[in-house]
Amino acid sequence: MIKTGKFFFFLIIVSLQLNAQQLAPASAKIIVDSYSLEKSRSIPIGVLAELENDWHLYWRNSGDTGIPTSIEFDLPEGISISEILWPVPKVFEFDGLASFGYEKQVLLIAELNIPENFESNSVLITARVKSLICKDVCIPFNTNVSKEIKLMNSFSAEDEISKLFSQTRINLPEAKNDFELSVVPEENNLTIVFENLNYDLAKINSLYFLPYESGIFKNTAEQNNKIKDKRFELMIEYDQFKTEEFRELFGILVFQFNDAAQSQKAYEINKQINTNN
Amino acid sequence: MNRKFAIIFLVFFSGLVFAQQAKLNESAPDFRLTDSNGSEHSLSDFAGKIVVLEWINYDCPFVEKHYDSKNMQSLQEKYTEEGVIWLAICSSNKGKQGNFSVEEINKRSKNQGAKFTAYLIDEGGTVGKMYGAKTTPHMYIIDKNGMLVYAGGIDDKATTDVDDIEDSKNYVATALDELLAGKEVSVQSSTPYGCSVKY
Repeated sequence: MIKTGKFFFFLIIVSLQLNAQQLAPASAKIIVDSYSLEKSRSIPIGVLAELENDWHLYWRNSGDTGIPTSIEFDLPEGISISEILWPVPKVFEFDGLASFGYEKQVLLIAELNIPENFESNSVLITARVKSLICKDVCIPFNTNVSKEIKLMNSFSAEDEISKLFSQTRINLPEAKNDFELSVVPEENNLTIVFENLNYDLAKINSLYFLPYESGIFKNTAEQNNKIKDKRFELMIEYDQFKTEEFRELFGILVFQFNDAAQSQKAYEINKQINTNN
Repeated sequence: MNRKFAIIFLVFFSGLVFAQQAKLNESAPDFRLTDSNGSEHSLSDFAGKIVVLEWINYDCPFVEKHYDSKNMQSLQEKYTEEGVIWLAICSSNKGKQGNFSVEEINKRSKNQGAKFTAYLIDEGGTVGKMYGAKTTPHMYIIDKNGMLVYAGGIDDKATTDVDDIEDSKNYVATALDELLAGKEVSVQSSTPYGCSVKY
């Protein structure tokens, strides 16, 4: 009788866990792209987060609300991993607030570095994902994901996986620090002036800057920009309660073009600014 | 003529809105709201006292973090005993998360053992927008002279984990301790974290 009771209790627990998994509006897993250890000692991996319709999770700067998504990797001794590569986020604007994040699906890529003298023929990676997912309400999304990677001289990922990696790489900001720019600070805003942009300025529909750090600028994609004397000017308002003085332009510049595909291109920019000039 | 009148009206009205935006080290804008027991409170009623404004939504996981752990209540209790006025303000609109009947508000506040001075209902979001409240919680401190001296998060750990509270730097406690000791507030702003205010 006691055994029967325990069995039913077990069934109820299993059933509740299955229901919880089915109801969870987000899931995450680690996926691996094709690699050749003969050519390079790095393996591209990614944490793939998938969300149900209307839910989103957050970029490295969450904007006005939410919290930045973070991933902590637990790796075997000797193995290291690069920083996460963050695709260009979508700007969610509502009620005068703006947040930065991803909906439906996002792949956060990193490069796993395998030393020449690594003796094991497999690597177990564990990642602790800490995030918040929101639609009209928010719930914490904290989960542990793991993957054992069997080390081979070369590995070809399934087409679907490789496609996910290649699509994500297209949407990564390109590192670029040779913009000719100057900054005009004012009391409530600053204007970034771009000279000699390598674009047909008439084709730029909009340009906005998303900072990596929160608290300095007002969060919005609706930044005032205009073409003036062959220069492009971008005005960014400060946050109402800015937490520190502006000293560097560190974030991404997103160009949106008025072509048929309404394409966009983003550049990562990390530039110290002397606001006295 | 009508156009001219409209322009004059717009200029005048936009001036009023601008004037009502809260800014650090300026007079905190006055407001009048009804609490969950039907009493009206104005900020000016508390002239000469230190006032804390706490934006609240009982169903937000970040608010749950600080109430389920009793962190918020212990701060409320400690500082109200020292004469600080603590006003929880809910700007959740009708039909949005966190908008409850007064009976439900009082039931939840009692169950949580809340120690605030009053729970104010800002259903239209007027006061929330006046103060630029973005998240729940979002904290503000007004000094005895009526100046806004702090705006930001409750602490520096932007998570929903209760375990993070112990090691966090609590900006509100630090600022209140400084004010009560007659000092200036050393950290006047921080990035607030939490759910969006459900305007």
